[in-house]
Amino acid sequence: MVDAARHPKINLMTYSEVKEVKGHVGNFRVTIEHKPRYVTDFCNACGDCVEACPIKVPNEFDEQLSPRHAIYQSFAQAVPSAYVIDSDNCIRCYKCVDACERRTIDFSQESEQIELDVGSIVMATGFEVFNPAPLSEYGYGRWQNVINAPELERLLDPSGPTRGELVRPSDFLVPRQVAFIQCAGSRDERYNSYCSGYCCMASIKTALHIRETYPEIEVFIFYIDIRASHKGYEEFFRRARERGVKFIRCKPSEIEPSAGHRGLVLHGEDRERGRPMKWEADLVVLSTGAVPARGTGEMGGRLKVSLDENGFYREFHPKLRPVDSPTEGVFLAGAACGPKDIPYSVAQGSAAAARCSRILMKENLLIEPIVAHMLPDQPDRCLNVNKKCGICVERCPFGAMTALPGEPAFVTEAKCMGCGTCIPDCPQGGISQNHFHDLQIYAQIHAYLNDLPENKILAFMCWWCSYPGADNAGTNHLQYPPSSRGIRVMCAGRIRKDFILEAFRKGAGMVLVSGCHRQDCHYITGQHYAERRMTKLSKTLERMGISAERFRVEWISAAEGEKYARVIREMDQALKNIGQKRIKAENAKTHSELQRCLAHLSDLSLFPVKTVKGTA
Amino acid sequence: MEQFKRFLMEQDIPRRVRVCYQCGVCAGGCPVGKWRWDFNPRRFIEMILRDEIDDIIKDDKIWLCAACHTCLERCPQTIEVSEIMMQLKNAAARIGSIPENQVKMGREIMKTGWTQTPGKRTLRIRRELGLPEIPRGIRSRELRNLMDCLGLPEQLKRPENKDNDGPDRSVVNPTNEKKEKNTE
Repeated sequence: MVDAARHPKINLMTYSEVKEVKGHVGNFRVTIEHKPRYVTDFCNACGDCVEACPIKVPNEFDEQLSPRHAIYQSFAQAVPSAYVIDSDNCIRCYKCVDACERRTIDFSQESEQIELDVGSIVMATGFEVFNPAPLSEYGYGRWQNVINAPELERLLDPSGPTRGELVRPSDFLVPRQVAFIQCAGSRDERYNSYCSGYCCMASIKTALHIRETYPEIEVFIFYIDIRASHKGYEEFFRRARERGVKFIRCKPSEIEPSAGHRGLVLHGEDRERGRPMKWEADLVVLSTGAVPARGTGEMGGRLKVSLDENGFYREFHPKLRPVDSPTEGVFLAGAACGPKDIPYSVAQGSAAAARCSRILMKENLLIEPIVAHMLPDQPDRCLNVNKKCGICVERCPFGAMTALPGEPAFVTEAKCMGCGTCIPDCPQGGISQNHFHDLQIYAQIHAYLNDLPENKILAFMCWWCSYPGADNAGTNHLQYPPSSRGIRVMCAGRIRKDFILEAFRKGAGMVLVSGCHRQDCHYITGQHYAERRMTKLSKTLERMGISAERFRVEWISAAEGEKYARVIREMDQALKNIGQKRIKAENAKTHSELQRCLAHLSDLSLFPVKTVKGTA
Repeated sequence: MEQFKRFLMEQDIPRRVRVCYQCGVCAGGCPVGKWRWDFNPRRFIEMILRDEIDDIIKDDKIWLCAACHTCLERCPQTIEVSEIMMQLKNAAARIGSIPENQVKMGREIMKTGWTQTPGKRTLRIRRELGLPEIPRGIRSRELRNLMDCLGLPEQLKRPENKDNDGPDRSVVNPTNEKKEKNTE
């Protein structure tokens, strides 16, 4: 931290908050509010002011276990080593002003707004520790000797409230037994369903520390499973066992004060014996997991970074782009995008820095040409001019669409990833995509279905999962009937209902829509909207009189070549079972209705269905 | 047995317990388990997970559950353990596997409306304290009708009748019925 502060090219802005972020990758304009510290930079951290200050409030850094004054330094090693006045608690007695020899205290300071032009942003807003008070069975806050992991950490710290001496809070005696309870509030559907990942190792480390400093203290770790899955962790776990830390496979069910002395009794089922047991402990430590830091949501809103189901920042892709946020040029590091231990956080921080330099080292940034754009011919077509629409804004997980009140929506091309999910849902049909223009896709549909359409399976496939899945079937020499014809689009979210209706109007035997599995969608939400749209469409088609087997939606990943081959085999079989006669009859029956559904295509000058038919 | 399995499937008990990771919070906090350590709710869930339903039905221990819902409240995977225990009891009752003392209690309720007959001492104390006499028998016609409709009398008449293709499917939940009576 000191190195970072000293570095000539690193500008550390502490006590500041990002208020607004405008622009896009390479050209962000960030508004930062620098809050007043009321102490000028001339301060030499002598600490005379602290002695003069009459106010005492709980110290947040020491987990409220010790007091601090209204003028304070958050902790001894803080960078920069600067004092600050907590204006919420300061009573303005100005005793510190008199005490300061260097006259560095200045109550006239006000918060200032700073605007910065930056090329890329790393979000490393960290996490908070879960407050175990709602776990009423453990009695945190009710029994004095039930503490959480950060509190124990402060008690053991040489600069902490007890100068590193481990005592139990009730009577300041050294405890005879210390019990750690793992997964307190984690892996728990009632609170946080995820595993925080670091608590097992943190508890083992602390337990080992206690055993080494106080060999007379018995240390128990109550666990469901110990997750020691990284390099060197299992060896560390073994070392803890060697040093006499007792591991008990049990999740205690409740904690009660013991009748005799001021200790506690833990009730739980010893899984090894399969019967309820009681354990006595003087000090119980709840190994609480991580929860998103306060303000994670607001900051995400300012940078257009969405949150996952647990409230952490969502990565672009959990496996392939774990450092990138959905907004191009904004990267994620550390526990802000999910609980992590130290090695993993350091690795992610380094990766985020490398990803930033990839953008910053270039004069110009090249982006993929496959971006959405508003159709230029009718600028007033956008509904947003007259009323509030903004469907495209909602569809875009990357923040590339903007719809300001009273103005037509527009695309920020530098942010657009080119999935095309916004296009099918535009009520005015006012958006299109380079290289995947509606006209191009209609042309492909027509070309494939020009002759003997009844014998064909028209398969729409997404770029990242289903097409490589079909490829996988090919490279693995998996046999499937030659009746399928594939149309590749960027994302299943790009597939318009009209494409399928048009295929059936042209007499297609079968239509397959395929894309990534929901959790693997390379455009975050594209599959979700595709699924919604296709579920509705299949009902419509059935109502029109097209047999349900003729329209199929399957989610096929890049590794599922076998599934692709199987789906095509099944569809081919179904095609034969239904028979050409019935397909033709159904097509003839529905033709007029389909024609009516697709009438709007001929209205748009850009999609002259008739001329396309002629050229195809 | 088939009928019992079908009942379990209808209730979808196997699906509801599938997420259990066997932490044992239910067993550790069970107030019944504190006195009878062989009563272990986690073990019942484990048996359902392992498809050892035949053993559960033979086990009279399921009737020990006091339905205090401590397990349900503390389960980190929000499995409704006590609700499932209740349904196991219902299912066991349906094929006639009710322990003798439960049958006796049921008959007592049918006859007197009490879960247990107060002894002479209790009655004497009540008299001394000037409390009114406890009403005997089920007065409410509705309640009796309800019990008849649910087939409770037949159920209790034939506790030893363990054949499973009887008309017992009409018995919806005799245990719930008893609970209702207790609160009455």
